[in-house]
Amino acid sequence: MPLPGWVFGMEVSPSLLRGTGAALHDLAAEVRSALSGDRDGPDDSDRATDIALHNQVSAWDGYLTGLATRLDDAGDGLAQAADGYADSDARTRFRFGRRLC
Amino acid sequence: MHTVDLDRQVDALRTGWTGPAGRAATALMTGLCDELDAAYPRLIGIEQALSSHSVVLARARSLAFQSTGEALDLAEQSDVATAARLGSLGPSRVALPSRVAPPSRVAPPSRVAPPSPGADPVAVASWWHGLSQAQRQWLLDDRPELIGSLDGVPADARDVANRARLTRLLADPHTPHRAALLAIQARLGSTGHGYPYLLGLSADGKGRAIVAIGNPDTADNVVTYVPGLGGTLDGGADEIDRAAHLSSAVRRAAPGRATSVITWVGYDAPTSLPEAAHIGAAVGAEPALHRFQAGLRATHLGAASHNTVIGLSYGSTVVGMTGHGPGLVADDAVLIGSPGVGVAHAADLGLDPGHVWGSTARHDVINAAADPRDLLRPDLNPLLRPLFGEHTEHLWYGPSPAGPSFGAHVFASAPGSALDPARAHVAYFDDGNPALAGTADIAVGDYAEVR
Repeated sequence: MPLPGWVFGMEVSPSLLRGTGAALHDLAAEVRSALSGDRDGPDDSDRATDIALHNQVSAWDGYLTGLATRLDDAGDGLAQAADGYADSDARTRFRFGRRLC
Repeated sequence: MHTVDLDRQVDALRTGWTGPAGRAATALMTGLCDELDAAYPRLIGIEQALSSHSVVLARARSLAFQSTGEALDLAEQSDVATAARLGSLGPSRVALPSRVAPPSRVAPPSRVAPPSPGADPVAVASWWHGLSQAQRQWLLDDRPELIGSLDGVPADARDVANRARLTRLLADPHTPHRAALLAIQARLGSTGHGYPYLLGLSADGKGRAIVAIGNPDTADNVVTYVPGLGGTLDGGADEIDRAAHLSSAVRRAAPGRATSVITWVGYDAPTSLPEAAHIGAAVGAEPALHRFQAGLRATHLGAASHNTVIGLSYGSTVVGMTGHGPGLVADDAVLIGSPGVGVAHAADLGLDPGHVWGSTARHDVINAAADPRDLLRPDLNPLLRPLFGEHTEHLWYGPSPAGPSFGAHVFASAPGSALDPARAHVAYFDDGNPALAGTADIAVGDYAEVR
């Protein structure tokens, strides 16, 4: 079991950072898994609903794919912060400043 | 999809991680959580819109042989309306100011002054109608507890609010009634009988769960089923299953008409016989049932629906007390397996007695719930009546709605078995029970078919 950060005089434990990063990765995977399967209508261009549905599927696919990527990036950033946290908060800030802000 | 777990972790980080890196990281994650939360109601809205459209198309298909023109008009109108609704549910509107400041800290759009939970549903409906889309969305995002339980708000909005609440409740491992909530979540994922709308939800006290199979705002026939003993949140999934049987029967009775069957676990139902011996729960339910029924009328679109309230067991007492008190706001009342409804005659329910219906199985254990004065009479001991299949006329809460003095239409139900009177009490909606077919015929207004 990982020891809490305060044992080492740290303000936040690397395990909490890694856990949160893993949760972000899980969420990204969940979002991506929702983007599979048949979500198109019968492809009848005479029907306004079918056109609207097709447009929404495209729009949501693009939006959610981007969101999943951003969730993954944030998870990666936290994992890197956990690796480097013991060094200094300044280094962690640098990583976040470069990757996440 | 929800982000409550992540919210919790972000909170832990926020409180334990100081300095600019911590602030930057938690702000970023808060923004991501907010984006997901904002996307959720829109995705639910898409599912609702497509489900409603499919119901209308099914109706149009069934109409096609009788009236092709009417069927085409129906399909065309739904096509246009559904396309417009889908058009408003795109991800572009999720584009968040909240990445900078989360929605909970965004100032509400102007003129949003929510009514109180007990407000008149007609006034609530008028207030909701007057809001902009942005105002409604802000309320759904920020006040789901209020919107989800506010009678007079349309069913689709209540469903979005309550599904979000359900997900939030389930994210907490210590939420009371967790098993019951999970069971309800499973029922919401099943669309075999039509899209389920979650119209009410609470895990406080005995809990609340109001679930409609089919949209009551667009249905031709709306049935509200009020359960009795044990009809609390913990028994909610069983009650929804019972209502699903009724929903199938109603659809069979009127395949060309849209129907919504609602399980109303909206009061503190008794959970024991001693509790059921007190009228307090029924009295306490009156305003809530009245407001809910008035809300159905206020939010219904198009021509008025045919609304029926069904009370089973102690639920019939709730229906009776509400009818005698504030009113049922319904066209028909059906009282089955009743221990009496608190009034002496069908005419006391605020309805034409011709629209009050009663049925009690011969071996229903409820026949043992006699007026205590019956114990002094020389005839068969009331406790033995369910075994011998003898109807009890004078029940705990008044004359039996299935007896001659009450003045209701009495319709048939399966007698049940002398070996299991308790089973007979909960078998009215079983397949093959004539009470199921009779109730369905009443619900769709085919009174001549009721036996």
